[in-house]
Amino acid sequence: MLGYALRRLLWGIPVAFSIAVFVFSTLHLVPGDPVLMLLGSSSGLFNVTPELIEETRQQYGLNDPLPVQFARWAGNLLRGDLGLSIRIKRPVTTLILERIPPTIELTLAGMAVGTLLGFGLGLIAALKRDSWVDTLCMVAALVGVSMPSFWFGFLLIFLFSLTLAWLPATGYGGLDRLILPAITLGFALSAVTARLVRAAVIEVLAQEYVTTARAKGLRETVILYRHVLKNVMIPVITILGVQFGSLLSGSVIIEAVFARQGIGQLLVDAILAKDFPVVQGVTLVMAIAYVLLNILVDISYPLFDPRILYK
Amino acid sequence: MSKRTLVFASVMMVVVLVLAACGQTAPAAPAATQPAPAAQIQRGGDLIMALVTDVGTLNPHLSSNAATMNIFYQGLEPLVWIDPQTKQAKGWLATSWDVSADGKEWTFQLRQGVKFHDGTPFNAAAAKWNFDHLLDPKLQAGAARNFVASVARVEAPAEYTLKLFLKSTDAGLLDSLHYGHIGMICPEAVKQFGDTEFANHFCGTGPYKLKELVAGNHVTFVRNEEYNWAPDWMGHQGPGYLNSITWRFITDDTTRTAVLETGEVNVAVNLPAPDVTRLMANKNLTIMSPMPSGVSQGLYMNVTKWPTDDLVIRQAMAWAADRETFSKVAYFGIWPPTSTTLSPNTLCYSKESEIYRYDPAKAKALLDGAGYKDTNGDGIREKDGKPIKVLFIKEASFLGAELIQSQFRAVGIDVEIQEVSAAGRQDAASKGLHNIMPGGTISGDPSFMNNYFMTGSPLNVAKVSDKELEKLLLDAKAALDVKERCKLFAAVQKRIMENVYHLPLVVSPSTIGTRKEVQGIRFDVTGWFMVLYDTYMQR
Repeated sequence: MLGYALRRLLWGIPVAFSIAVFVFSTLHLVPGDPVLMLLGSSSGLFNVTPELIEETRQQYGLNDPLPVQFARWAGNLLRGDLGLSIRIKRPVTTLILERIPPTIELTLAGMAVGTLLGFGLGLIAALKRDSWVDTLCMVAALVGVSMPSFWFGFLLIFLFSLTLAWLPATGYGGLDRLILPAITLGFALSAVTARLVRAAVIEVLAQEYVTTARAKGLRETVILYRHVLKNVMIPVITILGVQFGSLLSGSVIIEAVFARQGIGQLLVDAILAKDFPVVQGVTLVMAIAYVLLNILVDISYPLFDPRILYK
Repeated sequence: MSKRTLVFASVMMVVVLVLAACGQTAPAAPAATQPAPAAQIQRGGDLIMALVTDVGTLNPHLSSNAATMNIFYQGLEPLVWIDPQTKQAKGWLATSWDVSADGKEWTFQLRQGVKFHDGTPFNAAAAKWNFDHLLDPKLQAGAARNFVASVARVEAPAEYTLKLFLKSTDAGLLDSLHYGHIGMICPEAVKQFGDTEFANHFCGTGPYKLKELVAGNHVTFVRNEEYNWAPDWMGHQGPGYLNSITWRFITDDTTRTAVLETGEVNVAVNLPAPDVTRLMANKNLTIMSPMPSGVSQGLYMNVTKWPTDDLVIRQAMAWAADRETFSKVAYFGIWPPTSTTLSPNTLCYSKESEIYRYDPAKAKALLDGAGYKDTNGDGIREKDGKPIKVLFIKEASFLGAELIQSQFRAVGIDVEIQEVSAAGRQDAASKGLHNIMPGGTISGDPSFMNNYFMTGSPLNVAKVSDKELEKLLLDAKAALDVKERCKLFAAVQKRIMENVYHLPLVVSPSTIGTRKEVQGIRFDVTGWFMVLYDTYMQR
């Protein structure tokens, strides 16, 4: 088990490195100059002299050949230094550490809402298969998948903040500010989970061991908890693991709607401003998180299915 | 018409247009920028302001974010202030100044008894340190360095006397020194914590001081109880009225509007034009759009690329543009139409440069005269088999490009619209890929035009290389006498319009919404940045 995890971890290193090289080169291929973006800001307020542009390029080493720039970045990286943001002028490491908590908080809350709701809907739908309850649950899931999250977010703000004035619309910190974004995120996620759970439960219910259990005279609830749900967990956990990874970077839209400045927002702002060090740093951290999550998912399988053993 | 009446007229014009557009009952007149009589003013209250993007660093010497000025003006004080009405410089941390006959040596007398938030005194040595630090080539300075680009060296001959020696005469110097980014910061804080960490130990001389900075989330300032050195043009003396000011960053337009309506924030900036008419009808809100100064929002013409290299075609476009309709349709009348390159509220604005008005017949006649005819009946004119087709490169934030397209097509000029990111636009601008590209500037003094119309300047989107225009611009920058300057700038504006380097369309004011209880917000000369010293909450 431990050996397996270590091997997987080692494999993560070349993966992260390839991503770093890829991000670095694509960033420099796309048109746009970070120094001009920085100094000739789009509001047009700041005038910019050619001398200042040249000076700033020199300071950031942007005039050096690309391989030199990459080597410098990689060298600093080995010392744990992700560089300084061109746009915000603060260390990238600090920025990432500051922006990660809102994102993780939202992701966990969204996952919780999504999993509970998805599991509930999926399970009910499967147990009441082909009834109107099933149809209702699946329609709810369809709506969840189809409705853009920014739209659903606005609907929630409109209802709970503007009309009822129960909850604040924006910000970070405190449970009250977490509820609306968590529901928005969780609703979309629950849709996927519900469909998956429904399909898996229906499949398991048709297995012979379920028939056997029923023949033994076990109560339905016992069958459900002991035999069905345990077997449903494997595909669900796989999906949840993948979802968690993508939510970490992909809740940008929800972060924008509810004004939670998370890591996704940081990345988008950095891409738009061509803030190379931040884009590289965030992508790298994301890649590593992804790799780690997948390893976690893999090593959690034996918890649910003792037949799976790692050597 | 004096400038004051003009400002008033422009503000009223916005109100009238908005009213005409929505047919609602009259909303309150635009909020006064001067505070009410002292009797009504109460101390206390916490102001929360929604800005659009994360302000980034709070070190003004590193910052390139213009919006951060809304924060800097509350905690930092520059040497001077430009009166938004008269455009005259008034003292802030400087009380008076002299300039040598050649305009290269400026002597400032500084205000006495001023203390930084950390208790250290403000004096000429501290001011000199500020300039030296901002100009230090080792510092990875932000855009603020542009403001002091003309300064060669600084001396502090006496405790409260500061001397600036310029590389060349710069009549726009005082305007450059009035921006929040040139507000004086504590030398000790930078020496102790370093430039990056200064953001967390932000320190100046202003009426509000940093309480906490939660990066990416909010910044909170609290009242500086020791503040008692307000300049006389402010509305009161002593500490500020508010207990605290918090800035939050809400990127999404719809959300920013919603939290103003719920009262979660008291002030929100950059309200989207389509929402403004609705918000004006809201009794709990006051909507302000102070007229800005600077270059009007319009289209820069690339004079080095066919077909915009042909003056006749540029002139035809200037006659073909229906600014009234553009203003009403694309910007709901919030951004009023204009036919001058300098917007009407700018120092040295020249009404005489208003050459073009909407006259499609004239545009057609011009094109006919130059031999551009539609020979194949597709509605687009051509010459020697080459159709007139201009490439319009813009960002998504510029509204109404399709309207311009249809107006130009109506006189036989085809327009291809290409939407790009900010980085893509800058790339296209520097390579000259465009024919037309939207642009305008918010700025105080007109000498900022040098950067837009001088050969080789990175912001010269029109790719202009015009010796006569350059001479006028340089002479104007060196002319200390305001009458002489304005004469030169009038010639500048005329030359730009005659050659249609820039085709003005609308004036672009900021749109700021406040809850009714917020009173006494003061705007700087650009109309975009707020000074909240006299601001209070009415209960």
